[in-house]
Amino acid sequence: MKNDSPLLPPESLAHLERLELVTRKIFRGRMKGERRSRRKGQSVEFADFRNYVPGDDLRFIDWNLYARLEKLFLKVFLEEEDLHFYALIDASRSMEFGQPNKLHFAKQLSAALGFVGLCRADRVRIETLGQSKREPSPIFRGRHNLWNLVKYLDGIEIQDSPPLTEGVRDFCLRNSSRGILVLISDLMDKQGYQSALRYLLAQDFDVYVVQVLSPEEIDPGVTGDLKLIDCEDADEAEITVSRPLLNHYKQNLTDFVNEARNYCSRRGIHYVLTNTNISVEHFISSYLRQRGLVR
Amino acid sequence: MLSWWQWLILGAVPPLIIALYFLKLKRIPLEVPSTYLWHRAIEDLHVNSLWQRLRTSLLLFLQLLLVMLIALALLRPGWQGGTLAGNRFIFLLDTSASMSANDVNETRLEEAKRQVETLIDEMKSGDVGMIISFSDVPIVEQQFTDNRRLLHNRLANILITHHVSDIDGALRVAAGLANPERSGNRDDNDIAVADPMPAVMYILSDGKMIRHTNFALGNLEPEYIPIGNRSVTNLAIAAFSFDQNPETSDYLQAFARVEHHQRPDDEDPLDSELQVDVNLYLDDELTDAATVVVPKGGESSLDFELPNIENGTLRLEMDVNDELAVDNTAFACIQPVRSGKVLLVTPGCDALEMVLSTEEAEKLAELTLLEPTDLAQEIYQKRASTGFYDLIIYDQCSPREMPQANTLFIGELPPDGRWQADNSVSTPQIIDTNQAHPLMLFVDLSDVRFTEARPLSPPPGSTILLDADAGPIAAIAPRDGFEDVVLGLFIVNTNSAEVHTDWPLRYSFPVFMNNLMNQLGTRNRWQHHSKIQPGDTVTLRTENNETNIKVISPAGVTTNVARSSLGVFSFAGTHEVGVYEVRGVNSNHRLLRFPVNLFNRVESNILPADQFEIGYSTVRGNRVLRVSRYETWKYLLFAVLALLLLEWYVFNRRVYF
Repeated sequence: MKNDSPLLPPESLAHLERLELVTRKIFRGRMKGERRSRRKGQSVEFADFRNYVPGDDLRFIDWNLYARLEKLFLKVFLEEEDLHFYALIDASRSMEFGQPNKLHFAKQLSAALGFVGLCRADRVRIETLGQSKREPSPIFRGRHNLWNLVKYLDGIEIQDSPPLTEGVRDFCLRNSSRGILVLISDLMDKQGYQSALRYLLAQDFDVYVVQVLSPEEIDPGVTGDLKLIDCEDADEAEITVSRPLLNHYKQNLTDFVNEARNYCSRRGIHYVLTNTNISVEHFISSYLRQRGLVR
Repeated sequence: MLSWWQWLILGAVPPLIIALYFLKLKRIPLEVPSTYLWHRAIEDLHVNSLWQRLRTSLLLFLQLLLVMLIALALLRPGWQGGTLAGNRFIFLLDTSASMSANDVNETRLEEAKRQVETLIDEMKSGDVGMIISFSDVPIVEQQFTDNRRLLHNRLANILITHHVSDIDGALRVAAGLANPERSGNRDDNDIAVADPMPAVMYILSDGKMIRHTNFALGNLEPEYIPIGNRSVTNLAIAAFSFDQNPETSDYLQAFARVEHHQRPDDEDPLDSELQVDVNLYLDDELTDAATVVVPKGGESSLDFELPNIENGTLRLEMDVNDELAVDNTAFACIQPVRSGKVLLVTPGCDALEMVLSTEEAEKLAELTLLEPTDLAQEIYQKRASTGFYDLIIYDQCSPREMPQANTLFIGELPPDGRWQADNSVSTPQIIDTNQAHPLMLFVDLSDVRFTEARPLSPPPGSTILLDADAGPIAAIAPRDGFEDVVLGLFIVNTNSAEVHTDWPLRYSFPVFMNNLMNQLGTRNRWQHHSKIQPGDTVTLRTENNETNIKVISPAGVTTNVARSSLGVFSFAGTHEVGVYEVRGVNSNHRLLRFPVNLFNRVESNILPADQFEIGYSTVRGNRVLRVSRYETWKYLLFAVLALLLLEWYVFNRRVYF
């Protein structure tokens, strides 16, 4: 897989079409959609009866009851609403690594999940960390917007991003509607990821954290005496590669991943670790399906 | 050696490498997504500490080791030691009787084998070795090979023999490749000679061997390693025989000679003699014993008197525990007496006929008379060629072919051409009678006169019996197991009316004839078998018609021997000292016994020789191997190469400890 591979291969559309986004929480939608809502409204699914009050739509009066009881009752139906789906992509410089790079993987994953949402008439919004307030990302709805969505994703480039916490906070300020949020990042923020996730939980999103790592990060193929330069803050680390150092690095990575997984699971956040070598379609149909994001 | 400034430069190299390592002049920059986890790993390792840096840098160690090895190789290290110089080696091991002496380790042969093993181990890769064992015959135990295991195996299989030592054959075998002889066809004027392949020849022996003066070493480089203790002494039975008591036929006399061998300069005037008990066994039963006083470095004789027995085996044992055991025992066999068959071929000699027809003579042998003209008859030829007669006396005549019998020629020469005679001389003066020879025992010729005689030129190996002023006139020579006596004089000449001698009128004539009958005319009690040494070929004659006999060695090894075209059995398996038994293959009846004894002064004198002669060269014993230099720089360079490969592997495959 390369960075110029299509975000949404045509052959995977048929498979994704059959899926739908699932949330354990029932959110209030803004528009009529295909999901049952806690609100009563117009649909074919009966919910309850209530007394008629002047002004009610006469079409919903149950005339059979009026014939028997000579009282006016109104049939109430469950409202079907739409779902908010957010994909929050970390487009910082650290996402440029890997083959394909981590950003490309994030865009492919967002496109696929976005397509699933569009097929079910959900509201789909893709944002990057540090998204300009002046140019808010569009909201896509209905499958006819698929190519707009893909075009928008294609336009996302590596950029100088604010720290993770700051980016998430800005996102939360801009998006007050609750729904499913998938955060796609490598979580390698020196200030930590915990406060960022707390913002998301406070917003009452159904949060999925997808940590994307490149194979080079999981098993570094480095040798010799090196001066490592952090691509984001130009921080330097001088190392002499040795077996103990590599063992320590791997142990640290394992600890880091386990720590993130524990942190998330304790707070009801779904955490999934992946690397860029895994295909997105396989990732969705196996990993995310197991986690319950799609069905 | 290096000068001080060279040492200084050399010593500065390792610190320079360490300094370069710490300076890290060439640290490669690498952009990574995040240094977050790396920082934590570095902190864990405390990588900045000196010890940690050193501990983790296998490459540094390898580089330092590399430089050290190169520096060491440049210094051309090596050491001088006892090692083999050359690349072709021939190991000559003496397996003769004296090598069974146990004055060093187990035996001398074992010590020699141990030394050869050491030499083989010191052979370098690519060196080739050859093993030859020799006693009186050389045996190529292993041809040239670089397979050391094979050499060790062959070496282990070499066994001691009781043979005498003769290095000549071994030298000629060893010289095969070192001194190539002319190859090609002489008739085609092809005088190609193969390239000589020089070799170092290690001779592991006690130096007790027959001297040789005609062998040229050529490209062989001898290294003599003497085996044995230089202060060893040895007592040996040098001779053992028996005979009928000349005074009475009721007794047998057994004679023995005991020798003592020591270094000539070890003589001690205060302790110049030693006593030794000698036991005589007849058929393994102690019959007699004596104590003999032997002067140190000298010899002593002793005799025993035995009743006249028909048959038996005599064993003489010295009650001494010295280093060489094989010469402490001697054997002799008494065979049953059988009357012999004597043929007298004469145109007419009354004296001879009379002296061979006496009552006493008939006891010894049965006489047949023929005339010279009868020699053409078939019955004579058949009997003469099949060994029917024990002794044939040709008086004034000579057969066409030599018979298979002992002979006495009177006035004629044997027809085989080995004997020569000058023209007759008149009135020869007898100047010496060899009375040490049994034929001349008690023969006194001082009162005998001969009118003429022909001085003889007997063949090599013969013994002069009568010496006159003009030359020998009587001699005895061996021939294929028989003995020929030639008298260059007439007793009676039928072609002449003159009287040639008054010998038949003297006592000495019947005494001589009696000696002749006893020694050559009868199957006497020990025939010719008294002086068989290990390795000799024995010619056996049997009285029956067996076509095959079996010879049982003292160790019980049975060898079948077929009768040769000459009607005798030739047995070459006399490898050990002891009594050999001869039996018929079909009848299994014991036909005869014969003893094999060492009786060799050279072998019994087990003092190791400091030097010996090969051709015109004197080979001196050298107990220390030649010094040569062990070079190690090649191995160091190999180690450097291996280290380089290891570094390459470590660097590319990321192998760390």
